[in-house]
Amino acid sequence: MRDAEGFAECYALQFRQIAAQLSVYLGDLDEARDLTQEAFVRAWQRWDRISRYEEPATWIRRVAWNLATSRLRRLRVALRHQRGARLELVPGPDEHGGHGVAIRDALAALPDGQRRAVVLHYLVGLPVAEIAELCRVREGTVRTWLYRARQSLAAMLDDFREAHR
Amino acid sequence: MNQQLHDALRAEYELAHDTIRPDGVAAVHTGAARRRRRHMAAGAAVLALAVAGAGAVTWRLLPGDGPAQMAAGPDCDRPGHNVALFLKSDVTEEQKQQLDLALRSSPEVYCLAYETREEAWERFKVEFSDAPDLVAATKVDQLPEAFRFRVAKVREADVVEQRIHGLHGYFDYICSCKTATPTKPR
Repeated sequence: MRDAEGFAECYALQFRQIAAQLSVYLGDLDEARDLTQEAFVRAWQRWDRISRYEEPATWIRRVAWNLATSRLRRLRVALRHQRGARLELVPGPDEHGGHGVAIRDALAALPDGQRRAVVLHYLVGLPVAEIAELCRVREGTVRTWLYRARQSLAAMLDDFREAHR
Repeated sequence: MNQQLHDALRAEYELAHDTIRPDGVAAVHTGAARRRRRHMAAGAAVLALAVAGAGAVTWRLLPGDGPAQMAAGPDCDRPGHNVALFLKSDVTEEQKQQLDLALRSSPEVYCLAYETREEAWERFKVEFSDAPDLVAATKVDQLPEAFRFRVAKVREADVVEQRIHGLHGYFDYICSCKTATPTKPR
């Protein structure tokens, strides 16, 4: 018997957290919610086993992120046909250029690998080695991503502040 | 910069966190059930149920699919119930030895085998070969090491559990007699 109560508890505790992290990466709340739901469906199908991991939520988050990455890859191919098009962003509450919109635009302008590394490292709090494993690249690559991302983000956020002075 | 970045990401996260409306756990169950029906319709019923429903106990469905030591161990054909003792990721050698000793010195226990992460991983890959992204998402060190053994009676599984109760280094004790209906005629 799968432990439906334990699963419901895990869902209640973890869903928003996983989906919100993913949403920062994707810049799309609905997409993040759907992918997280899908990851939980897969977890439930194997709950006998996954519930026995010390942190089932880690597994679910990994599945959700992997789903997101393959989804983004397909999306990028589609976007190649309409240059300049960007991922659709969640409309912010402050239309006058608050902090949120600035970081959101800046993130959206980053290459996918860099954005993934930044969110996983600075928001989710994963160490470099774990990100490398998740993205299936070398640790050096992740460090380069993080370095470049910090440079671009710093420049973009400065420009932004300049423009709104 | 790092602190500023962290704060900005955190603010984005909080906004998303407060806005998201989860579909709910019930939708997970209907989603999984719908998928299972599709699998069955596709004629892959046996495999799909083994994967989706039985999870960790699937190996019991497959005679001779156990770890090498287990197949070689004495008395493994004797009727009884499979038990797995899953070890914590930070279990020490000493704790392992104590658990091993406690199991070895238990008259109820037979067909005892230690399963490494690598062996668990090999088993996992075979079982979930129909779900490559699941395999890709799973790391070998997420799978727990385990002691696997057999006992003749349900009551004996409880006796053994009581005996190791004070020991450390494990996080779960599962008897097939309690987690699944018997899959082979005993």
